[in-house]
Amino acid sequence: MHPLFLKGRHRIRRTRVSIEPISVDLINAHILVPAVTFGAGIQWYEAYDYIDGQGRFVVGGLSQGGSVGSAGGWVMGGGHSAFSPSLGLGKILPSRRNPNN
Amino acid sequence: MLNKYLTLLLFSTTLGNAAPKPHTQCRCIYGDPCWPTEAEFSSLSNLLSQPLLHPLPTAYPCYSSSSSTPAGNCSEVQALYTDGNFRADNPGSMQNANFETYLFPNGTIDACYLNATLNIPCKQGSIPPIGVDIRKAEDAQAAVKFANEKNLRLVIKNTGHDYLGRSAGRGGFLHWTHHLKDKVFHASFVPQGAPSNQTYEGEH
Repeated sequence: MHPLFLKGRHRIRRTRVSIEPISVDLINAHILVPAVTFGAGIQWYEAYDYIDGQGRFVVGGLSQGGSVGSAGGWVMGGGHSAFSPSLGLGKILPSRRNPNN
Repeated sequence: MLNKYLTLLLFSTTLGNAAPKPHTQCRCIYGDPCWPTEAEFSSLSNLLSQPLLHPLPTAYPCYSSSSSTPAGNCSEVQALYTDGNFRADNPGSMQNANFETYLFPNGTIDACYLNATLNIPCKQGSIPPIGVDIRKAEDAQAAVKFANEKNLRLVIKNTGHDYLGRSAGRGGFLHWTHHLKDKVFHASFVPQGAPSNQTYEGEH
């Protein structure tokens, strides 16, 4: 199992006859970026509060009251946010990983 | 009705006269003779960190003789009926009330209406009658194993937002992930199993 990362946001590749869609890469490497890991029950209102408390900004989901779970379908569906045009797709890992390995 | 007809039509067109293949083993549903006994649920409970859940439909407290139930009280339900977080906090609430209901093939509706003055009894609908409040990996392991052994309809609910209604399931066995609330910030994250000789400079 490899962690799924959404790498880059300008990866439209020209070929002779067509333009391929944005590719989703499986990166098997150290990722030198800040990240958060969440249990399945964390909802967006908790995620935003927590990440804000770390002095960071995250591209996340939107719902009234932030009641939707943040460790589920939104990120696995690509992580499309109102901020995506300027900040890219959601980049939270879709599953829990060991940070010390 | 039209939908049913179209589905049937499509089915007939696709498969001709071939009979549908029967399920080899249907799930064991609440009320079936195969449904686990109190003693079996009790022995499952011994493996769990929390008591077993008995999820109730959102409007259930409006039908209770007492003013207070585990699901809250009626005035609270009336005030917060459309509140997403209120619904997320109740294992028997879906985000969309239609998914709490069940429609029998003959058209009868099994539901628990917010308006108790309709004089229609509060019914369980599609809300599983029993479930597990998962707080750690061992809870999930025991619950999934139990569901597998007893051939139960395993239903996973987190907040209940699923727009196909999969956070509920009539006569099923609910696995509630709502209280898996651990969160960790990693200043420099390393995925499990990643080789140390490769790096990828991400954005900061």
